[in-house]
Amino acid sequence: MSIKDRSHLIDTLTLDLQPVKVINVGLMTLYFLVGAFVFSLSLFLLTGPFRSGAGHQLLSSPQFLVESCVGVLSIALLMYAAFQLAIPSPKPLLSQLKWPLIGLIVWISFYAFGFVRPALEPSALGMRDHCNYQVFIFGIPTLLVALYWLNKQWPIYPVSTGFLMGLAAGAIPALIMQFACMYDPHHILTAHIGPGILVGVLGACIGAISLTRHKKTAST
Amino acid sequence: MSSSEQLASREKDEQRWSALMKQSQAGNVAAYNQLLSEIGSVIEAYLRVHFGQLTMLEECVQESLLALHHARHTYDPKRAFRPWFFTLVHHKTIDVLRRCETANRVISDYAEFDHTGISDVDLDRVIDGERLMKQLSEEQRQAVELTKYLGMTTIEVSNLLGVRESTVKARLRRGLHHIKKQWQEALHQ
Repeated sequence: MSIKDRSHLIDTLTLDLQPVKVINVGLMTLYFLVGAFVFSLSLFLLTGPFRSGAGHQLLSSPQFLVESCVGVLSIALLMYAAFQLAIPSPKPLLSQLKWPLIGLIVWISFYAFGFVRPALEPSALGMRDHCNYQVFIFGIPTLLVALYWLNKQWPIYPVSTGFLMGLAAGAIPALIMQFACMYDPHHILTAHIGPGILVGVLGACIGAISLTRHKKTAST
Repeated sequence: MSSSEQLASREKDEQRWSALMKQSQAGNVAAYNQLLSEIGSVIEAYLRVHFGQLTMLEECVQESLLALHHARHTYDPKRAFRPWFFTLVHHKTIDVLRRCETANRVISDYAEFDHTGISDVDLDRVIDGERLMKQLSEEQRQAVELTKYLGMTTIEVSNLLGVRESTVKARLRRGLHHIKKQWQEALHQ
């Protein structure tokens, strides 16, 4: 390749120029977050009832309210960070992963703390059959749509981007399941949060394949 | 140039490139052409400073320009241009170097495996990709370079060149066939 080729390339790229819409990561996160929650809620409503009195429990137990709010915040952070990772930036990966992962750990810690002092009285009331499978399956469509969008950006760290987005996509049904299934810290950690984290692993695997391939061809 | 002058010039460049990029995002062809031309020299200088006499320098520059083209919608005009831009260049250069390393490994494996009757000089001549590429027509060469060297898909090439995908595929097929034929002839000489 020569300098002559370069000017030819510039001419070709210039000739091909189309106006583009600049990405607003914050707004995109908001849209995806709302969309994913509405979608997951619809799936939950279609597949079974919510635990009776779950809404009332949210208002009557401050700990339950706080852990749910921290869950939403943690999901928002994960999603924002995943979208942010798709924008070229010199920030070190670790600093970009730090806060969303801390948020996730804090959220999960609430349920670990629940072994000592549960937010609600543990009971089998409202138990859903196959809630673990539901969390995993309900998270996948959000993950795939988000990865499709991420694939159109310029993700530098495909595995981490896929992992964060997978965690966010899996955490949404995991959080909603606290209202749709029985409340018991052990059950929540193993049957709700666990499958949610598995969606994160799936996201990392898909990201490694699809986003890496994109990275190679993105420059073209 | 003193450090304060350098800083001022850097700041001026930053503002100009940011403004040019903003105009480019809106579809301003002249601004985009100016930006790519300026940036091309900057990338070249950056690579020379960081990697010395890089054999793949021009390829790195052009890949970086292509990356900038495809990632231009990810630049936020409210943020600094340089960090965004140099991240692209850095990662594209690593990609090119990795690819080059892989290619060299394949070539050296091949040389070790099949060295019967071919001296080092012959091998260099045989795998002289540039010579083979020169024998292709302009359209075929373009199709091969964009897909096989730069990794574009045929759909992307068709969009870039403004031709049908089937046309790109045909040019690519003919180009590759021609290269293969030349390659085989060279091997049997």
